[in-house]
Amino acid sequence: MSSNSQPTTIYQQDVPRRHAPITATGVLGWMRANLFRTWFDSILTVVATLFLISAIIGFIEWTVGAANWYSVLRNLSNLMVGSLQASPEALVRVNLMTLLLAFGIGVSLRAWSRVGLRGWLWTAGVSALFVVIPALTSTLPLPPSMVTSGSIAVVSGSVSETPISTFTFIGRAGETIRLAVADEAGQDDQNLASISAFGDRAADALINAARAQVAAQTRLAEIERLLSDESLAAGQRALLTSERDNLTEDVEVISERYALNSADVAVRVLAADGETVLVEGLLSPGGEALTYTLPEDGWYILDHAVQAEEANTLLQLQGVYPVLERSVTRTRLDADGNPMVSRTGQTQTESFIQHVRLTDDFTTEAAVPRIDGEDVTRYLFVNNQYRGIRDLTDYLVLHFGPFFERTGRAVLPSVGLVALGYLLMQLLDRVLPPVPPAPKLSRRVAFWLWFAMPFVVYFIIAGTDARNWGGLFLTFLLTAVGIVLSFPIGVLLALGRRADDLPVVKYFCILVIEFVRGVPLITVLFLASLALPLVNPALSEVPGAVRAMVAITIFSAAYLAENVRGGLQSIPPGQVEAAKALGMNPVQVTLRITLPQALRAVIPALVGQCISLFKDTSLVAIVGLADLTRIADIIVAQAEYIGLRRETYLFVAALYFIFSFAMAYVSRKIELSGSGAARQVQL
Amino acid sequence: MKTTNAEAIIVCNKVNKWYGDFHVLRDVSVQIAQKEVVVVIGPSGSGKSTFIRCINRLEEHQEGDIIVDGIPLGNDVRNIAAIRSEIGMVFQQFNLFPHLTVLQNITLAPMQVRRQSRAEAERKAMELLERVRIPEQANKYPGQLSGGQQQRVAIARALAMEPKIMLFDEPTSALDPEMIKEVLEVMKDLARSGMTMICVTHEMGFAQEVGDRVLFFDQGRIVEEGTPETFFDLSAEHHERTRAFLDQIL
Repeated sequence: MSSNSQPTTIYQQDVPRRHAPITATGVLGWMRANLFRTWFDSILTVVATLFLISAIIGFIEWTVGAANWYSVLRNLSNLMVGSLQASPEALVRVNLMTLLLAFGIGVSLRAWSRVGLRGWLWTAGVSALFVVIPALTSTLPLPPSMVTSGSIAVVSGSVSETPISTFTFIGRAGETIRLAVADEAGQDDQNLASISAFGDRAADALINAARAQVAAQTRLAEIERLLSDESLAAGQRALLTSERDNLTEDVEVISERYALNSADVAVRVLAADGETVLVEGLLSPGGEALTYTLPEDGWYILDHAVQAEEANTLLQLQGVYPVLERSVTRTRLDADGNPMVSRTGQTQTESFIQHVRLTDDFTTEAAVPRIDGEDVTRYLFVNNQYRGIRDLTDYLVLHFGPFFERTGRAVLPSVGLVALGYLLMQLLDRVLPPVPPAPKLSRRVAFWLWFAMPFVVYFIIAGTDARNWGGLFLTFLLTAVGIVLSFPIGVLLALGRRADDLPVVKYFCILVIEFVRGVPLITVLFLASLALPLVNPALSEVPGAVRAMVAITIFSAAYLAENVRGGLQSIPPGQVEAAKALGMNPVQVTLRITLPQALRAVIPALVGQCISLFKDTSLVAIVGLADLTRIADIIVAQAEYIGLRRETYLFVAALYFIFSFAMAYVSRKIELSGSGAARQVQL
Repeated sequence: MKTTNAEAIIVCNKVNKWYGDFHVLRDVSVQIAQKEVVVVIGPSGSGKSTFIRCINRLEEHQEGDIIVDGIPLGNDVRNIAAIRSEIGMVFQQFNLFPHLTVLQNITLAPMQVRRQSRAEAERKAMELLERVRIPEQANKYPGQLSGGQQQRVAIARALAMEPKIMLFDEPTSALDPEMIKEVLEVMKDLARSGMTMICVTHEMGFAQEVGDRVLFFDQGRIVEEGTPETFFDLSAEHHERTRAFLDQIL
């Protein structure tokens, strides 16, 4: 070979390394590669972006301008714990459990992860929102109430509303109410149409009529402008002329038709007894306002009378706001403040009516005032809703601020406990640093904490009545119990199904898995709640929630078994051979080699299953349990929240999303931990 | 280097094995002495891997006897366990446990099977890692190592059980050419230290350098056996199948 071969060519000159071109890296490179690679991509990107923008703008407009979040705001504790909210003791227990879980999360964060400066800043920033937003919005003025005083029924379209002259409202001692004629709003139709405030039905009709009037005027001006064009075709001209004639017949100035704000109004504020006159006065258009400081908490009656035969006057009230009427069930207490227990051992409950002011949490249980034995019309949310298109200020003060204030009461302590857990563990690791290769002490604490958690939570929850479990709390319980119990069962089923040398076990496992997978969850729930008591009547004593837990556990275990089996099948046979060759017995091989790898391989599927289990728990509504979704159903079925489906379900959806997303996030973290990080390199 | 029965640590007598109806091992009889390094070569599918996998019962033979260190290999689970704890094995695909660190890979079996304390197992693991020259990788995961490093960890893992015999099943076949040498160096050290070894390999240089005996397999039987000097000597007398094989590789 060596005699006749040519020498090899040698390239001595080195080619220097350069940076990648700017168009291939960074944001620009990413956009080029992902958004505008081809003309088709570009079109898709533009269309999708436009769609997204319009959807977001539409959502914000709706949220700020029209959405009514009272169904959520006023039912937060209902959505969280359902009927448990009636028992103060149960609430303490649920709160305790929540804080304990938050603490556990904090401990785990320290044990298995790190919170950097950025994390702390984010946490602090988001937590601050719950303080700052309510503080800022509470400085904004509340919208007034528009009340129509007068004798002419207001007609708008097919609606005819007669002004109501006497109504009752609630207020607090020391609060000042201010009554005046709504001069500006009643001035002309333009102003009338742009009212945004709480108001009675007659005011609503006035606003709507004024809007129609303004719209008609605009159209008339438009028609006049078109008709002035000489070159207009005869047919067109005829059409426009007839439209103009039709319109002019309809158009009339609303403020003139109802003689708006032309007459004085005599007003009186009466005490709850319906007789004592607290203050009275005469409000005249353009005149002074009447202010009065309420002497005590409770009901007041306002009556007003227009001082003319045929006139309507619009009043603007400050400090008078709609109330929600709600029925509350709570534990009956005896004279010493202890819960009353019936002979059968059940705690006695009582129901009564509460009135809650819409703009804050002021609540009264006092009886509604009566005059001459008849209930007085209440200034109730159903009749005195917000009228008009809401502006940003009103949205902030009525919805945005209160929402953050109320949720903050739950979020802030929880975040605090997470931080406490984290910092305590940091201190622990610092005071008692681990001796390598021993694991961090915090990790040991976290392990034992989560090991003990189910027992502690059980101990805490056992003190509450399972029949009253509801809301997000029930959803969580069903999910947590489903996951925790179905995990070992599912793993055993998976191992059993692969036990080729134990045919009885194998076929039993196959039977269970395939039977359960072959029926819908609803069927399993029905079986647990209806069929089981037929088998053994004693089982009907078991609370429905517990029976649902059993059903969900069995159902979830069957699916989990199949996921785990998939993971087991993905383990290369060489792993088992290597372990066997090292002298490990089958149990050791399973526990130390195959199962850990199999579970790690199917983390995405397992978490996916947890997430779908979390959402599937909403099916328990079918067997009469009041989980989160069911509570939402119940809320929107109530008279005062009619028409608030969208808001209610949107909030519920957001809750489901937040927790599902958190689960997915934790799953990704686990996937990337330990050997998962190494696996990424290998791929 | 012929051996007598008395010194033999592995005795195989007329071992036969079938996969279904396919006869993979045909009357394989061989005796391996303590401290002997036996190199098994042969074409693909000749049964050489199956043969050494029968020795620690990763494959079951249907006829014949395999006796390791006086323990007969049969269906008795205790015998299988006893034999496996005396035999270390290194695989072509390394078969490291990807979910455990290098250190954990090595200490797992001593702790689980030999019931050693963690401290003792880790001390010994570090010694072994020194011996295979990668102590600095102890806390990495297998996925973060090169093939050659992984195979050396696999050797250390097998040695941690303090086996009397080491089986190598094509240990360098899955490696880049640049990494083969580092693994072979470790194997040569091991051979020089007096370990009884059976190596299925295509590394003829290794066979010639450290092998005491060469077994040539073809179609499930041993067709030729001898010292490396005579086996690789083309001028010596050979079975025609051996000659064809040697013509291809030399």
